Amino acid sequence: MLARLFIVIAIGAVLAVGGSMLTAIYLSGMTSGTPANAPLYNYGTG
Amino acid sequence: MATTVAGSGTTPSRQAPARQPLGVLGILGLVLTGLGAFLLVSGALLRYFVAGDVVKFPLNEYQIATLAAPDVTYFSSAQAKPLSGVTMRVTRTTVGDSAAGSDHRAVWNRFSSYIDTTNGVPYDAVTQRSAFDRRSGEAVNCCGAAISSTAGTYTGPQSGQAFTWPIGAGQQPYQVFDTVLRRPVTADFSGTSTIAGIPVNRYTEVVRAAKVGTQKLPGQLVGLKGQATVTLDEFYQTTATYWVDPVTGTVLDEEHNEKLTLRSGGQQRLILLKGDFQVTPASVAAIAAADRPHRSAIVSITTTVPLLLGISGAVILAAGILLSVSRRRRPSRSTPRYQTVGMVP
Repeated sequence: MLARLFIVIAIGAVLAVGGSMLTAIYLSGMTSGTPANAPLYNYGTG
Repeated sequence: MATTVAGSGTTPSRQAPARQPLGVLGILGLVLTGLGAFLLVSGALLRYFVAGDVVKFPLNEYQIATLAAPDVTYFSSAQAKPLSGVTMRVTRTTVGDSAAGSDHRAVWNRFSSYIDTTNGVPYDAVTQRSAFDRRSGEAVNCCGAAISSTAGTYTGPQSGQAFTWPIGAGQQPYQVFDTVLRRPVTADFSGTSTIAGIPVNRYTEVVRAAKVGTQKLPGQLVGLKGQATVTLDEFYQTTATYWVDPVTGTVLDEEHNEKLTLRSGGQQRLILLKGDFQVTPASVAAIAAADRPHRSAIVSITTTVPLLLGISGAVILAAGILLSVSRRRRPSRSTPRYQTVGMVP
């Protein structure tokens, strides 16, 4: 039974590591990219 | 008639107990153990790995803020005379250069347009390009960092906070890069307050009159009629106050009480610019509205979700282990220790 416990704990931990890496990759992608319609030289005269 | 135990022949011998079938409770215990381990490790990784990798300033920043200053005095080059009592508006546009950024470094450009709205004429335009660390907000020297204005272009080193405070800003002094002095200046922590419902730290930067350059102009403009041209020292002084969301490092509001003067022999000859510039309430509201989701996301990813995952994971893991261990210690009475395998006549 102890062996089974260790195995399921290891499986849970490995899945958590994989899930965390995918989460990090997904969330990192949300903070990059090019903004659309973003002119820099806005003189505020419009 | 006699009953023998399992084994060869008629010699009684003891056999290793057969593996017990798991049963519903056994399967449930293992599932809970695996799930608990998954949640517990996920919580720890979210806090110490994912948050460190994800919580950082964006590459694709885009923000427009307006600062207004009533009762400004400035020297009009077009009219060759000082103007006073005018209202000035600064439109400040910040755009991230995503292509120049990386995982650890962001590059933002900021264009500030100064308009004399009383007379409807432009006063100045300043462009700042700075690269900075995506967590500390501190300037790093690369990627064509530069400051450009009518006073010239500066491409030297930049240091101190570039556009923001650090993510997780503390109640302590910070060095802030001053685009006029072109060097960092200390901004001291000066209290806390609330802006649009967001708790903020206030920092104050004081620059006493500091020489930033020289200007050559006709003597008659500064009361030196005997001289065709004079070269005067340009002095800059400011008291700047920043209201910063300490969670995101975003400056929600700021005020710059600036004075640029020309001096000779320690005597003030001409005011180039004197005004108290503050972000308009509409811009503060817009910046706060844009900041709020980032703040919630950072709090969630660094505190709330890891805590929930950790606590629920620990409870479920403990329940799973207890269920498995208690079942192992109380074997079913229906399972005989010895098994009758045959009859000897």
